[in-house]
Amino acid sequence: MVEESLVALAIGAVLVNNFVFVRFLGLCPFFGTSNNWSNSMGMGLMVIFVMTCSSVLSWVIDAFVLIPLDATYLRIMVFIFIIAVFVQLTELIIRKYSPSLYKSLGIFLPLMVVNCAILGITLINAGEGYAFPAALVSGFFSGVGFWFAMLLMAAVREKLELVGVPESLRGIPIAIVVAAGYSMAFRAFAGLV
Amino acid sequence: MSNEKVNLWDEFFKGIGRMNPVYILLLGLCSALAITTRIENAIVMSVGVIFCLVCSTVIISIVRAVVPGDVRIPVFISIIAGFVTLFGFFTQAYLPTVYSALGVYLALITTNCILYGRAEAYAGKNPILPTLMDGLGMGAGYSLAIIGIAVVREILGFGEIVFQDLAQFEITVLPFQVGILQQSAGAYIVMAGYLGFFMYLSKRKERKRKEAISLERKRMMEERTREVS
Repeated sequence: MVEESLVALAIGAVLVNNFVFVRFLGLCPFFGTSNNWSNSMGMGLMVIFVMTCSSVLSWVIDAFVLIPLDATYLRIMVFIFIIAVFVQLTELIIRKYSPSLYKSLGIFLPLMVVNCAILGITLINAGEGYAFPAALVSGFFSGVGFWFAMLLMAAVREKLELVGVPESLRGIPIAIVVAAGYSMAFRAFAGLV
Repeated sequence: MSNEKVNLWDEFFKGIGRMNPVYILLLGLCSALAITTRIENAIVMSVGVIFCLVCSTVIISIVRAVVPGDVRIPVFISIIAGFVTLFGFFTQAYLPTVYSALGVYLALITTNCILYGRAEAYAGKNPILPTLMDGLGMGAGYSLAIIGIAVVREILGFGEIVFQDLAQFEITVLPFQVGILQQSAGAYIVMAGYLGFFMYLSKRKERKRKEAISLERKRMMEERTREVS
């Protein structure tokens, strides 16, 4: 029973409640970096990593500090602080141990702090009152959903470079039209879980 | 003195037109798309963004001299998060329906790129008064943008205008509903429409300006040839 509901949660996080196309979270970095395949790949993987880790960290702090102290109204401040500190730490560690990885992924790291998808997932987990496994699964698979959306978008936007788009729609507007198409397609997953 | 005043107004109006945060700078897209199903939600969200933006950028402008560059991001974000929490309390107490409709997006004003963007790009470098005007202008630009989207989505999508918290009334406007506009795809479509329209306007302005310049140049050339002959 528990495993089944976790699977449902995972599918829900990737397809039904996709962060980009259904929940509208993390759009600024999404439209900013989805213009080519390798950037999308880097950004997407980074989001999976940061989202999973900050879900776990924020769950731990929430369950062992905020709830016993009856201080859940401090969630926004505490969670954003956790994310900011965690991102800075990751940046330092990657820079020290793997300069090549830092070179390819490092530019996306500062963007993570103001990525509303990351703060969003920690607040959604806390608001739904998920237990630890559920919080972990929802964090990881929401990240996967974001990565999947990035790749879908990059695939189309690379082709769009070669097509005659009307002058006023060039660039971001046509990307938003594409997102509308995907959003309609993802609507069809609604009955899945 | 008067020159300074003109500059302040310019700081205000650039947020509405030339540097509109949503349509030109493409900041704060998430909330602009997510909560614009109802006009009422858009209004409350705008008030929240204006309040948090103005208060936090002014505070940041005051403390900018004593914050070291390395810990800039956490300090700015904490100031912003504080004001967002305050606004959350207020909405929860006085506007419960809107509070539940806005849900997680209210808390996410914290990571709204407009706030962080203005803190980083403007408030961290400028004195208090211009920062205040910049915040008000950017907030006003954001409000106009999202209320514009919400008007289209509520009237066409639901065929009626419903207010529950700010006022209590229901007006049926259209005898039909365009269902797609209630959904997330509809938000993208309306947004793309507005963006395309503003892009078209700015392109046309640019073209007119160029035409005027080339006409001027032609006239000058003709005059010169006449003088020579």
